[in-house]
Amino acid sequence: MSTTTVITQGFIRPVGLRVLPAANQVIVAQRNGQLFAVDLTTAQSTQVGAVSGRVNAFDVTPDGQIAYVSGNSLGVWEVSLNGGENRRLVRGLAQPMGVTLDSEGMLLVAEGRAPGRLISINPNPVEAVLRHAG
Amino acid sequence: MQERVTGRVLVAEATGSGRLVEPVADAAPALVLNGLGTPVDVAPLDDQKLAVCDEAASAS
Repeated sequence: MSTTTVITQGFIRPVGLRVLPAANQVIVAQRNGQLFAVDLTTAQSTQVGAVSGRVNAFDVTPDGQIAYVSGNSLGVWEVSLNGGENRRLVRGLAQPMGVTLDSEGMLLVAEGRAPGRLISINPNPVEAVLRHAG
Repeated sequence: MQERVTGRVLVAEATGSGRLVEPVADAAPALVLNGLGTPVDVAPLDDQKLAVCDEAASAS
């Protein structure tokens, strides 16, 4: 039988979560650009990063040090989750709705409106490649 | 989201009372759990548990 347990609450319009098993943490991104780490042992939530703009989607590196955040006015930002500098990777995308890291560390970004491209980004150095245009 | 142990694909739906469902070919999805509020994301927490991020108050 399925049961539910509230780990923590009080997030403001969260857009997604990423589980970091090694750190026993969950990273939660809010629409307003704030990112939080939730300690699964203590259930304590701590803000670990932020970007100025409305967030559509995000992903986190497996080591939990960097988040990649997409938004209509943001484009795609690399957000440090350990107090480092943030940097914009790409701008001018058409409503980037999804962002995910592949197994080789490349970012895949899907646009939500025309031209509806799927774009891959190599964060180091920053290089964007069009994969598919709908 | 794909469940680790069984490989089942599970989908969080924000409609209605907020449901976790398993898609079924040519049929309505199978209900796994409801009362989740407005789930926006789901991920495996470990081999036994899923983490669901909920935008609205949970029905607990």
